[in-house]
Amino acid sequence: MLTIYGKQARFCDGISRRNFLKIGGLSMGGLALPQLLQAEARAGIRRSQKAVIMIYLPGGPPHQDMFDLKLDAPSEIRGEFQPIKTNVPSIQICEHLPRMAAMMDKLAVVRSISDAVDDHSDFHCMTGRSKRNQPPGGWPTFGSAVTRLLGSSNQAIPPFVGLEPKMQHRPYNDATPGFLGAGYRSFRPEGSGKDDMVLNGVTLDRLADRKMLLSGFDHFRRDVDASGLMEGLDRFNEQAFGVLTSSKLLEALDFQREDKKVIERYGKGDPKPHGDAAPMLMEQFLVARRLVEAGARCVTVAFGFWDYHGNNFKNAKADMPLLDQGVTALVEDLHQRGLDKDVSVVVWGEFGRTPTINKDAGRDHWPKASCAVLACGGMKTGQVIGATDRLGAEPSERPVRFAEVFATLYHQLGIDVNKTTITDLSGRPQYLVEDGCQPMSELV
Amino acid sequence: MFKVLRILSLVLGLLGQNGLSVSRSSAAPAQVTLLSVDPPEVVLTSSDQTVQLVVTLQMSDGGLRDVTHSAEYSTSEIDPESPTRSAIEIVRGRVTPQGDGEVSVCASVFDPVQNKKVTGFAKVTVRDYSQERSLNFANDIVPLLTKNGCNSGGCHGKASGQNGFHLSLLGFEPDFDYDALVREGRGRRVFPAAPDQSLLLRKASGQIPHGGGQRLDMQSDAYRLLRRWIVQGMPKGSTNDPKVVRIEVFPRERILQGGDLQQLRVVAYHSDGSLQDITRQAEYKSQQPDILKVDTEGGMSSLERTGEGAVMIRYMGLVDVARVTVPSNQSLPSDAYAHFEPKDFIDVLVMQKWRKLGIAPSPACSDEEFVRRAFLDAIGTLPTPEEVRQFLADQSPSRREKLVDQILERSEYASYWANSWGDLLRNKRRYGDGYKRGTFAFAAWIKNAFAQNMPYDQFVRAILTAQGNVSDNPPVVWYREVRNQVHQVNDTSQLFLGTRVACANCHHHPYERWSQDDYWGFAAFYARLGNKQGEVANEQAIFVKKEGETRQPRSHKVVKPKGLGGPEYDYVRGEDPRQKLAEWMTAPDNPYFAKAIVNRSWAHFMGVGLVEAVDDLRTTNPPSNPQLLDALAKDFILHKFDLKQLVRTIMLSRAYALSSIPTPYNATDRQNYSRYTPKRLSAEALLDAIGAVTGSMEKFNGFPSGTRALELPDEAVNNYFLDVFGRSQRETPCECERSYAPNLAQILHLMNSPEIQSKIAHEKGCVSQLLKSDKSNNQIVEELYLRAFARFPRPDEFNDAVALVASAKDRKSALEDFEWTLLNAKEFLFNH
Repeated sequence: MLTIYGKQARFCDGISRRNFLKIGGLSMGGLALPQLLQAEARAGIRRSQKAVIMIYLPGGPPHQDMFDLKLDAPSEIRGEFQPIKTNVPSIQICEHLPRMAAMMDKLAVVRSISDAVDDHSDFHCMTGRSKRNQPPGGWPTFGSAVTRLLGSSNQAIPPFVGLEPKMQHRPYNDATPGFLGAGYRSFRPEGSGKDDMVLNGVTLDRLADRKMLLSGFDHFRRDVDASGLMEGLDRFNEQAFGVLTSSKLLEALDFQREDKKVIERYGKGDPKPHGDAAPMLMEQFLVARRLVEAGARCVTVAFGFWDYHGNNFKNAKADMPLLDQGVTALVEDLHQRGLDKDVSVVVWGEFGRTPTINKDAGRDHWPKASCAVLACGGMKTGQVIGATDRLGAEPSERPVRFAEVFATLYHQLGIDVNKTTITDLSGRPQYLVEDGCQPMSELV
Repeated sequence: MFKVLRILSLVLGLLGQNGLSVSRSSAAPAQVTLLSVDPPEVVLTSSDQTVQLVVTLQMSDGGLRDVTHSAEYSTSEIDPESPTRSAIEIVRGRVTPQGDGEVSVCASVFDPVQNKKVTGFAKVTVRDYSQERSLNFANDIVPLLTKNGCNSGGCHGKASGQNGFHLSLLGFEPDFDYDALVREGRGRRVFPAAPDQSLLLRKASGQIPHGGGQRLDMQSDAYRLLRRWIVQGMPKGSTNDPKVVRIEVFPRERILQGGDLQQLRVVAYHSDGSLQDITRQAEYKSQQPDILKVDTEGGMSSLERTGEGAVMIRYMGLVDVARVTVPSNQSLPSDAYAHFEPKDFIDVLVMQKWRKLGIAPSPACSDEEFVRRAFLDAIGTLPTPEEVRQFLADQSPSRREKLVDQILERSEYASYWANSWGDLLRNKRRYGDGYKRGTFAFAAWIKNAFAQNMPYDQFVRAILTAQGNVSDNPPVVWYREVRNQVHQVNDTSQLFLGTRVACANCHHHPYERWSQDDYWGFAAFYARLGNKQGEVANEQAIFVKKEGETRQPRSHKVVKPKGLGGPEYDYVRGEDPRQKLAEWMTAPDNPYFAKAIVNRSWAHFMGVGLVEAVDDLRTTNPPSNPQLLDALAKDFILHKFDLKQLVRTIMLSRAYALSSIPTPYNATDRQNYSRYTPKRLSAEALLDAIGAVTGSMEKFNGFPSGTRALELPDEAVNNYFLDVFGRSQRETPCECERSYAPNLAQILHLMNSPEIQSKIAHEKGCVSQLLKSDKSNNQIVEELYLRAFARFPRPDEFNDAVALVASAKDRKSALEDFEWTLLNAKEFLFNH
């Protein structure tokens, strides 16, 4: 027995950051070290902490009842909510978003998202792309592309974490790594692999035994494999043991470790799924912050269910305060921790809602106009971008495409959308965003 | 006998063209035997033309060395009456005319071995220096826009242009570009009255803000040429002006030692027979940036790594390629090849290459390694302990031949290859269970084809020309995913011809000679394909219309069916053009068909394709060992497209049976098969292997128990393991869709999932059975090693493992832990 344990030293290979980059690069589908360094150099980052938190509101929130109130519209359109002043004199938003109003200087509202499609799906919000004319294998989601380009910034933390659950309406989970393949899938602590993260019928001691056995018996020579896959596996082995035995990742996911006051600031949500979509877990805003702080580059959250075909106002009145609290807690937190220049936040849904209120006091799908909220990441905030017409029906000023927001997010990560391409499965270099879309000059 | 002769003729054929190889064994330093200047004679007929000379030393050891940049140049006028000023100027071998005249150029270097100067000569004539030539937009200006990146996909070449200025991608549409420059932008882009005020020049040279930054120096030749074109009033040129028909690089092939430099020279041939040196105008790209780098003026140099590389040269839609070999600089022991006795043509040709590169193979693999490797590679299945024992007990010299023959006759052979071809043929239940009947029928058809060892040409023909209903002709299901002409062209070319032409759908292919006409000519084979509701619910039937033609979408002209670089066929009423396609493709002289499949199979077994990616055969992506690719293709055709024979040939070569452990003499080699390349098991094979080791096979909903993952007919069978380990979603005809990249979720699943744990602890599983048996601890350990690694434990492993089991308080959990360890070990997860 002792001889077995004695062999443990083989495993201690003390991976340096440089080595790690190499391993990460190779295991990440063949992006070699020089390319990775170039990618980082292009990005203007060496010790990168840049990250993006994407908050998806499944179902499509009512833009005109949240950030773009239309007091001059006729009553069948106007809605029952009143606007309130914000801490930016020229901007008013809904009375049920008072905390956002109080920190409007830290937010940027886009009122004129113009190219949504009538499709209940996270695809547009997560990939920035249309589902039509996809390259073979499909468009990769933002976090997968970022993983491909930048790798992980910390070996204990997956670069891309998806906190959204598997939702009942399947297309709310439409976004995939697309042509990048399963290796670039988000790590989903709430998804199908959830059971794999807690010990199953095996005690911690037994796992420790197994770990030692593995280091004792797994002495296959790594150098037979020039592709980096074996080294990559070793790295994930360490990471996996870490996850199972209390690691940086688990710590990051465990919001209870946070100061009580901070947890309170984020508030208490509702763990039950709303509608056929997501629960309203306030702690996920906090977990997202903890993950990016620990080194994740992209964290996605799905929050609630906004498909208010009936009782628009009653539902909105219940849901908006939670969103208000979560988003403001996150933004405030990012500022307090000095992450506000590095971590960009985007909050949006797949489309807006009809100007006309239907017979059930609801609003139906309306892809012609919708809203987005952006914060932190060093973006210029305290402003409204674009406007819709008198009825909130169509953009009247500065129509903004989804892909422009993505170009901005890439830009804030230091990735040049005009130069960077990823090769798809047919060998064609693909740009990161739709043709013609640039980082938004208002924001960067 | 026949085989021996064939090998011999191949070897002899190769020796002839192998004059470049460098002998590293001679002790005396090589001396220069000849200095040559290329081209030896050249005529320049305008002040714009320049010529790149390439100066090469021939060494006494047979090597060639480029000294273009380091040679000294002197010139002397041939005509004594000529003016004192020389007609030319030479910098680093590049000749720029200065006036009319005939000049003798002398290039010289000092040879320290002989302690003397060595010289060589060329003659340069300059005529019509002061006569101003009228410029041609397509020939003179477009290449300049391309070389400076103006029309690249990231700038003005993208579909929407950039800031209102749109050029055709890489200049493939000169007429469009001419209009964009001369007619659009309210004439501000070019301004002949005050050429320096032209927006084109001011932006490109950075005099006014330009999103793309400064692209041209005002002192550069390119700037001056653009300016002159504007001064001349933006001539478009006559349609009768000569066109470039071909480009050629010199030298095409060289051996470079680490860090050596080689200047390239590129010449364009025009339709009127004239030549032009375009070394400065052409674009260069290194295809293997870890082996080779190249600058914008055609100076390429090798880096540290041993191997082969290529530089792609591109000019006006034409391409050529210069190949470079970078041999190892360490000397090999005299017996480096002693253990490798070539057995067939594969061995001869890989060894040829090792010698050229100065690398040597790893030792041969053991029988234990061979049996596991052969099973996993050929049938995706682990051998059972019994099968391993049997094979190891066989001491006959032909035991590996026998083993391979046995494996290829097993039913798993068909399942394994049907699974992989189901991916490539995109047999996908995309639209839900209603479509199950079709995918199941097609899967069964594919499996049967492999079981019968249907000749590959017949297999492909049956798919390409399929028509009718699913029930009579299952291959019609192929047309369900491959549903329109664009998919049909892309899938057919990528899958069966190993050539990606998708780019040419919308514009000229940037790395190949294929134009949109070529693309739509290929599409025309499918012009008459129709579909209608079939007899089976939800399934379409494929029929062929009596008439139908395809038009090229840009020119709107009817294009005739035409294979890539193949003959043009007429449309005949009542005929299915796909028959012509199948004929052209499967003809023995088709340049792609056999090569594509032998390369694909080779890559499957050897881990790396002769061409990488396996479906990206093109001039600018040359094979690492062209002779071997040719020989494999020839052999395959000779054996009438027999896939099993191909597999057998590869598996029985000595090259296949090398150890995967590197030696100092091949440590950096990745592309020359000097050792076996380990690969991860596919998702399906791994899940089956885990089932085999634990004795608890995975259950799939709706399938009889005992159904293996490899036998699943399509992608829609729900299984988290297969998803997370990257099975193909069958969205593309590319092997690359299957993902082998590891991630955290996979490892967590292997280590800690309830599914795997329950297999290990299964009451009818392997561990339980062993515990119930009367086997000794020694036998149990042996059994587990044979199951997972297909080998007996080494003495140290054996002692450790037996001690572990013997000393355990709880034998069951000790054995479970041990089995878990084997399943998580690299030796299990890889085929090596």
